[in-house]
Amino acid sequence: MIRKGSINKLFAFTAAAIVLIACNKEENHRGYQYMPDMYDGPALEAYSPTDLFSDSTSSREPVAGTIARGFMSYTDYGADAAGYDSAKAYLQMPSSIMATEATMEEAKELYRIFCGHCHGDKGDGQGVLVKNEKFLGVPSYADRDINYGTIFHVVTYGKGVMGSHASQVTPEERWKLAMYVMKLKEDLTAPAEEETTEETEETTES
Amino acid sequence: MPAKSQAQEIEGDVANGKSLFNSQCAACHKIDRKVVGPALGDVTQRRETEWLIAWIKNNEELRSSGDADAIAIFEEYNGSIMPAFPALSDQDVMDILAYTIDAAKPKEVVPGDPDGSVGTVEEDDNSIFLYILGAILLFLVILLARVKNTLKSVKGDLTTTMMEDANVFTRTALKNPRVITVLTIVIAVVFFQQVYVNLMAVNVDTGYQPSQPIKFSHELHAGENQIDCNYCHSGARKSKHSNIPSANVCMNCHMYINEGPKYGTEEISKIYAAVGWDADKGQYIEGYEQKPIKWVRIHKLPDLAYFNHAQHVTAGNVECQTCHGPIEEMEEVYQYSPLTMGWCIDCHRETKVQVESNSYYKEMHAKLKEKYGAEAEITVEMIGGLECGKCHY
Repeated sequence: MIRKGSINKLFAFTAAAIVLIACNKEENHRGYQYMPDMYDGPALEAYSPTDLFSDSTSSREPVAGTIARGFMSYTDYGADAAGYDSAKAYLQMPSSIMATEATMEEAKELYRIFCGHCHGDKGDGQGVLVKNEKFLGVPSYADRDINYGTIFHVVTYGKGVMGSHASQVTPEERWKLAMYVMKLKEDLTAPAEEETTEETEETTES
Repeated sequence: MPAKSQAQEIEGDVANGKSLFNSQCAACHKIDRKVVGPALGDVTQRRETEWLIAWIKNNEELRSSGDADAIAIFEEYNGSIMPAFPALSDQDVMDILAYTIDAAKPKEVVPGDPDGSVGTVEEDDNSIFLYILGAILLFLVILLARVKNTLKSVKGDLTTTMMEDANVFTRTALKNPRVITVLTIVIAVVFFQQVYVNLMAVNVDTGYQPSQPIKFSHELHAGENQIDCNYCHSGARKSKHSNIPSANVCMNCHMYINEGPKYGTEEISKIYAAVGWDADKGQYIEGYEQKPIKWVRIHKLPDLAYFNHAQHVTAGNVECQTCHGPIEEMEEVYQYSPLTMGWCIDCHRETKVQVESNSYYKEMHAKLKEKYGAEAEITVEMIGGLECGKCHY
């Protein structure tokens, strides 16, 4: 014989179960783990916050004065207009960077990743961001008086509204980019016979 | 010193001026805001037309001629040089100036401005339909109960409320052993199925979509504007982590772009607040205490498993989307893959190593050919992708 009370108990139990399951849906709650000790190690992971430092970030800058292995100082050329001029006049590409096929292939990929969306895949200043009218006035390489030195300088420090890309591409990659940009400039200034053949736009999958 | 006259007569082709402004001037100037050079919306009120023509065509010549205004503005901008534009004719400059006047006028509000009303309505339609159906059923139940009571009172019987009916019904039903058996089985099946599903879901965070401190849209940046993933996550090609871009990478574009299509300046100004950028002056605030942007991590492998991005992105040529899903369509990022060990193993069993185009595996490929025959397709499993020590050590 089942009494009225047991039905109520059954309802209460179901309700409690639903509430428990619903707890998982909280927005910034990742969910539960079986052995949290094995999932989160005691060592700090990249970007994890910490109480050790007052700004709570575990990503620290190197100790002042530290020099990374292989680091080449670039302080001889300042970030101002004078630095640009002297880079234009004196800065030479190191002889270790060779324009082999593999290097140019890599440079093309680097250019696509880091430059193409503004400067355009052909260097004509017609990248996707320009076409979408987010960025305006990106010049064509053909119209600019540039050389290896200025390209390296501008990628390192930025110029005008272009920011510094030093944190994204290493000096070696910057030289490769400089080579590729000069190649694009040559292609743009060369007689316009080739330009019509490759009008198909390369759709970049990002 | 030339007098600064008000509202000079400038006649020019606004359309031509706009295209010239966008291609020649916009890299450093905006109409309403200082960027690299000053804002140009009211420049015709500040300067004489002749002076402007001379300055725009060749400002260096103007400066060396000893023009006090020209030297003053050059020094105000710390000697940053504006290039000369000898290719522009006087009429071109007039067109540009005409455009600056036109663009500085307050814009009329366009009715029906698209403001991101893209929400899907299919789901809503369905639930509304269900609610209506439920309401109709409830109405029918009440109606029938009243009809029954009316009939009873006509007959002269005692009327009963709906709750009493329901009570009588459940009591009779629960006295029936068959009903109890079926009910027990149903409850048990549902209960154990739920227990199983929930236990299996522990530590599997598929679909995890935390809210982020800045409403950054991958759909806009990676989809519409086609910025390559590696532009911001530049560490993915080289290191274990695919880094969260530091704010200076945001600023590469957002020094210039300070308004988004959906949230206007609200979200972008959060970057400015973090790095200390004064958008009106167009420069960093000196001595500003920069604050980290506290992004919420979505993808997280347990400490007991090792994963390296460079190994997959550079050596393996795996597309980001293979694991992260259609990121370029995500307004807000969520975890697409379960990131369980079974999921890793499945992919390692099926994925073919791109041996031809990848010199990284050249030597190993020759050995594998000996072992498996020249025609065999080499999977990640064959090059040791299932060995425990590859990921757990």
